[in-house]
Amino acid sequence: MKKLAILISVTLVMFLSACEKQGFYHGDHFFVKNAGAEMPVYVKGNIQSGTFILFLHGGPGGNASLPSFMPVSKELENDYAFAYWDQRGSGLAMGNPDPGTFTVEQFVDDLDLVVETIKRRYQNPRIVFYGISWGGALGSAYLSTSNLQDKIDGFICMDSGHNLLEGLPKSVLFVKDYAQQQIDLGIDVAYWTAARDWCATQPDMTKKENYFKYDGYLTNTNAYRKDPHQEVEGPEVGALGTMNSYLSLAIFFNGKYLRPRFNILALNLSPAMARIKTPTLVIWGRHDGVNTIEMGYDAYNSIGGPGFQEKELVILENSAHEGYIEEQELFIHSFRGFVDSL
Amino acid sequence: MTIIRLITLFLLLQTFSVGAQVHFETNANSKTSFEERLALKLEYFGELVLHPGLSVGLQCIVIKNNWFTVHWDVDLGGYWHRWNNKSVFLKTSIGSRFAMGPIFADLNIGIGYLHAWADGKIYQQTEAGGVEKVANWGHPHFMPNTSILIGWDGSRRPWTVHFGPEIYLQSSFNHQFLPHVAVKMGITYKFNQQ
Repeated sequence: MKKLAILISVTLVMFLSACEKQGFYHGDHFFVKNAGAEMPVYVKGNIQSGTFILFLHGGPGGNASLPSFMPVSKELENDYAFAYWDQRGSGLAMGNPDPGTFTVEQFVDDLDLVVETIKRRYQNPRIVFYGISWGGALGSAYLSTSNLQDKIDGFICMDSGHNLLEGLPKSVLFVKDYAQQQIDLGIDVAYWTAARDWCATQPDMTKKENYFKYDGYLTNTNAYRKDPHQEVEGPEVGALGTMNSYLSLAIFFNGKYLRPRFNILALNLSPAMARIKTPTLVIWGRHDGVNTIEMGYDAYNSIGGPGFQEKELVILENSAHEGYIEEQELFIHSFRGFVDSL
Repeated sequence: MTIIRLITLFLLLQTFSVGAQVHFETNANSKTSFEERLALKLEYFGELVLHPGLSVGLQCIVIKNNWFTVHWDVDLGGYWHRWNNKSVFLKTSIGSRFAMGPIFADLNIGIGYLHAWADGKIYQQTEAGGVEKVANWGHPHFMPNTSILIGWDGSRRPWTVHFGPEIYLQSSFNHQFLPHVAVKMGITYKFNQQ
């Protein structure tokens, strides 16, 4: 009987400790339901500020729920509320959305639902989009669509993939140059020779099989982080945090179905971005190999057209695709400067 | 997909085979009544260890000798993964138990039904272009599962204790089988000890 009592006590302690996990649950949350998907939105930070930063994650097929534990986010959450939305088929999103819904138009429609729900739940706060990579493209698509931009107060467009039609061939050149550098250094010569020679054929990057081959090479370059050995502040959630927060294994598995079925390889939003008259900060890593710096200039020039003045370009000179952690302080300074100026 | 079909087929065959074995054993040893083979289970079911849940179940001993037992279990339970989902499940499994003195190891494989609800308010668009809160009906899922448990069977006591991980899949979740890990810790009470 004594052993039974011990067992019950241990179970009880486990149950109570499982309930006691406020550390990972600051803020608010809700779900939006649209076209077969139920997508979570986690709201953290300074809700009283009346300024909501709506984070648009990358991918497609990435997630916002893990970046919600980034120290860089936590720092900015002192000033603003952050809304972390996991897109359809991504992150912690639930449901079984039909592959036919994997279109830019549908993602824009989902985003509009998130915007409208934030406005309803929080009494029409200011909303600023903060989109990285695919998220920057999604923000650009939204703001270029009819008069949706009237709902948004600002746009931070970071290393966006708004024009993959022109951007991907530039990234292929990045891989080719990187491959040549490795060959010159005598590193893994056979692998990099194959990569260089393949890139030299100027493959048609609107074809999925070419994209996946290129992506295999790209991930072995420093396209994402200029110095892959740099110590950066990643998400403050380890294995224990994963067991003790709203995260689940879905962040590792979701997206696998979406990615091969959501073809944005021929996406070119540059002409449409002339319609954007929302104040915008374009922020780019000088050494970004995914969406190269030329595409940063393209984004800056395209937004609002040549006569539009309410835009700013910040180049992070020592960053690649992850400037928010590679040059965290400069990123935070630029971010705050822009949002506070709105 | 083929693997899942094979597992399902295997479990169905096991279920029929178990039924046959129960009958055979009962006839072979008429002193062992159905009630004596039956036990009640109560478990902590922690999805990702710390997301709390409970499970209650019935266990029926099908075959038993000094070191080996086959049992058939039916469990009803649920758990709460805060800000993510609330789920309930009904599952059945076949288990093989290997005993060494009072210690035993249990290998179980089963199938079940899982119903998961988003843990939070849900909004959708209205036809007029606004947003509205909507009812949360949740999503139905197939739940194949397997577990490895370590336990202690106290001699001449009516109960046993067990502890171990369970891996189960949630299908279909974004058209995939989403894996989960849970830890189970519980007691099994034998109605009438043999």
